[in-house]
Amino acid sequence: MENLGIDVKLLLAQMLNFILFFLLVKKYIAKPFLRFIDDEKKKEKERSDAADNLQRQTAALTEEEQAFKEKTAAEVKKRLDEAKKDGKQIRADMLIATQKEVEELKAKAHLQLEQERRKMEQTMKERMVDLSMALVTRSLKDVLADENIQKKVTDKILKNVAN
Amino acid sequence: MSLINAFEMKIDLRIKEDLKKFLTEERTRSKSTVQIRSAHPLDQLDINLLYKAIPRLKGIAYRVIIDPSLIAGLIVQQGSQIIDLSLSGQLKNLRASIYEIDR
Repeated sequence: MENLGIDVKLLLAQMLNFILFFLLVKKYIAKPFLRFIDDEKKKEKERSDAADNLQRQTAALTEEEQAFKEKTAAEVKKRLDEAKKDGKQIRADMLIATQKEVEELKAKAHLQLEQERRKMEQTMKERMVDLSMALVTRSLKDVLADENIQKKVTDKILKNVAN
Repeated sequence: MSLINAFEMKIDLRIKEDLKKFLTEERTRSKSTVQIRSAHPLDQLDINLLYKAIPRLKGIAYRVIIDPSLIAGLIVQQGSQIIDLSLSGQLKNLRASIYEIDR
């Protein structure tokens, strides 16, 4: 060994040094470093999991939002359809009521016209009768102005009653 | 107190009796006299015809009133009873009959 130029003592010392260095590095540097690495890996995994979770939640929320939007749109459409239907029904009802009212008004006006026509006819008839009677009375008075004729008429009336 | 009693008038008995007596006398008097309204003066022939037409008037005193508005004929009134035999009465009846048509 000495012939090879290797100092056994030095080699042993260096080996010892190396072993000590190895043990020291292993104990005080490698372990914390590995722990740090593991921690980082763990944290990274947690972050990744959290990101995945967040992504899932975001997707779920998006889906939920979409479903809510669809549901809302369907509800709005349903309400609109109902409102349209109600509006049509109200319009139809109003139309029927208005038609009925118009018919009633027409019938009332017709009845009133008829009553007024009858009243007018009656008035005309009464006036005609009054006029006719006035003419007849006047004519009779003229014709029966003579007392003898009046007497004849009176006698005729009394004879008719007696018979 | 009933409604009739509430509105019942209290009349003095003496006034009530006088009123009853007056009404009875008036009724008797008006029944014992016949009022004849005629368009022209009546002679005995007319009166006879009247008695023939209404025999129950015989023996009852009558009073003639001339009323030219009757045109012809006469109206006999005895008490509250009236017998219209005038031409104006006939015309009134005719007018009433025409009014009644188409009612």
